[in-house]
Amino acid sequence: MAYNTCINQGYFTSDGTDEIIQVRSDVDWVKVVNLTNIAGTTQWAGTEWYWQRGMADGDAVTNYHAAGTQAISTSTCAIGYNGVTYRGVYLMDSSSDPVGAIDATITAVSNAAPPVATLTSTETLQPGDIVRMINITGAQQLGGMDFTIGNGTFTDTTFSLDYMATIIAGTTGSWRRIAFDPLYYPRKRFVSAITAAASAVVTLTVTHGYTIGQKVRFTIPAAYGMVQMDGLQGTITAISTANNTVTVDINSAAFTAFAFPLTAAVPFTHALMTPVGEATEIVAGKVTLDDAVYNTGYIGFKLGTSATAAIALGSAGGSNGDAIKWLAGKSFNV
Amino acid sequence: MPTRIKFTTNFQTFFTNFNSFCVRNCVLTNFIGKCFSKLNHVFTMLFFDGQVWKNLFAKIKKSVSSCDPCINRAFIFSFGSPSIACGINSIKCIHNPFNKNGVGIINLETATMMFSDFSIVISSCLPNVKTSLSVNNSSHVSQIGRFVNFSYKLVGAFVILLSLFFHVNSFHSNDSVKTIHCKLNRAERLSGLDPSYGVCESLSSRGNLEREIRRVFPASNEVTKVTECLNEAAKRLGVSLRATEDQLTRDMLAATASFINCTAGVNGDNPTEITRTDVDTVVRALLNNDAYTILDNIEGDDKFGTAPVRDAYFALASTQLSGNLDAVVGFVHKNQYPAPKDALRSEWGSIGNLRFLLSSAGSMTASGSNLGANVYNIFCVGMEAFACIEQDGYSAQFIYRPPIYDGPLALNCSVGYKFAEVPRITNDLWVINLRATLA
Repeated sequence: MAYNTCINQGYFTSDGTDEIIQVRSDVDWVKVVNLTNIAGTTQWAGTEWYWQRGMADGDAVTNYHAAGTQAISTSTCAIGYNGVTYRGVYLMDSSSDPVGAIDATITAVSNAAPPVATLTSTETLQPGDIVRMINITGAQQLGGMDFTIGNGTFTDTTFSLDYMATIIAGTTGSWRRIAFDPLYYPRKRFVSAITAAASAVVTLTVTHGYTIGQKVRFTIPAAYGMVQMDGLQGTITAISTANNTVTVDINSAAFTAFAFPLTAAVPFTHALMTPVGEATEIVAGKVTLDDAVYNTGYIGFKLGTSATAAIALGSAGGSNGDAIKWLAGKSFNV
Repeated sequence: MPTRIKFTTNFQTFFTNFNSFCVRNCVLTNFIGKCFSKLNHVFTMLFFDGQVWKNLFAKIKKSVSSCDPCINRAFIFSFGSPSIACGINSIKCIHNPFNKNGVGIINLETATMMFSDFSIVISSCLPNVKTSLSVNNSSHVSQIGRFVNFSYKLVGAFVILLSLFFHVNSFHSNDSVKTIHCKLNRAERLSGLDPSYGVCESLSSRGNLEREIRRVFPASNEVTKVTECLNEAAKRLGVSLRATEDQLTRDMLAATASFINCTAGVNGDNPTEITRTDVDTVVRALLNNDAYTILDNIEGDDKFGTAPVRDAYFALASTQLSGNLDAVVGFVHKNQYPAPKDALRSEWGSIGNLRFLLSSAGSMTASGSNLGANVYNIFCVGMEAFACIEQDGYSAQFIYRPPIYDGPLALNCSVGYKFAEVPRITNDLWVINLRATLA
């Protein structure tokens, strides 16, 4: 490894979730050290990870405490130790294919508020991830829609569709993880609920990222009931990150109630909120546009970890509170 | 579109001194005159060579873009006719226009730069010399055509003159020229020459007394090979640039345009395959939003198997939909247009008021349907529905930084492009994403 080709370095404190690190240029190698684990003597705690091109995505050569001492042993994340495989380094390119592998292990989607999906394992997921639901028996209306999951309920075998309206329970189905949002911000979002109020409150199925002042337009097909809202344009007057809602200056008090379609309604066009407008707003000396003009694409790498403590202990992304330093660079092939 | 270009030189001082030397010390006989024929050519090449060594590409680009037209006022004399006296008497007037006589014309259509009557006036007995330089217009990278096959070291005019007297084709200063075998660099391999090994002459550096050994081809070959590679790179980068621009626009539309699902199909998915009903729905929505059509209608004609084509919106889609489009009621393939020449190259056909332009890079949402099938996004757009906004006063730049040899620094060259523009929807009501799965 040619250290004189280093292009980036940094550090962070792990929050227990995957750490995405954006870099100015593509990387050929990554080295990570977990200072917290190095200082401690926790058995099976990973201390150092090294990855370079040619190694599998998510893998890394790792050093760890083989016993409750400072003694170090070496393995790889893919091989693992203590009967566990770990998560290492993943290259990231947000403009690439964002869809993960299909998982057909859903056995139930509840009628709770919000609905909770039961599946074989949530090992590759984390709270806050975006999941695309596919062909849910008895809940076909969810098919093809994206949802932010796990902020309400997240276990080894369940996750909640956080901002989804109540449905009639479904059974089997599939899902895929969506690694990246669409490239341009702000993005259109699926609508899961709209209140009938002087200022309509709109719930979106995926974390929206909108801000106050942005202008939006609604596409509300007849299947959703509130057809008076269709085509209307409004300005966001308030947002809620907890509920993933936006409040708009549209009086919907007299509108027909919004009702999410039932499974039998398929096929139908989904209810949408899209960014529009020419209005500008001066923020910190720069002009921001309402519509999608901001390319959020990036390249970099991800240091993986897990909500499962035993996996996080030996993963490059670390456990919550770990002090981690990283080094990444480009090299010449020889 | 002819454009003038001017080459300047810093050799004027040398030539002035040299000419004085010739006039004062040499007896210009016919024998010498013959030698001067060669000498004239040598200096012509030398003149060019001096330009080559000073970052050829930057200079030519700069000259093309910024030089003022300049009249070629070089004097042209017939071989051997002037006398010594003439040379003495007119030496000042001969040399005055020297740094202005390197004037040629770039013909940007034929991509050839021609130096007509390019006279290097050393003394009055010298003939004019013609040579040429070709320029690749598309890439702004110059390519040397016929050029100097040897590099001369300006140790002194006297030595050069001696070499000419003895009909030596090139000036060799002791050990400054060597012949070695070396591996071709990447640029040379790409140029289609011997892919493994070749004979490389090591030449002394240009114009200086230092004796550096260069592991490269002679200047002319080297530049030609590099520029051939650059020309090809420029072409590829140009394609890449526009493809990237299209992809960004596609991604912007996919991220933000509202959509209508095809629902009238029978494949049991959501959305379904595309049908005429779905096309009518999206056309009606665009009409209701007062979107202008982009293309005019094509009048019917008295030809078998043809049908008139309505004025239409564009429908930008993936080539994966080609077969499904064929099956839609009312589909008119472009070869059934009354005037097929009016069809665009990427056009597939028309349905109602939509004319479909297909691309392999068309937008697709993986597993976007209810049943997990890929959803194809058909962007139905009216006139001026979206645009690409250039930023910072330019759209795109082709960037080339040549390698600098003979030293540990700056060994790596770089070539590429960058552009600063953002695609955006100008009226969200005039662009609708019609989503469909395959039948």
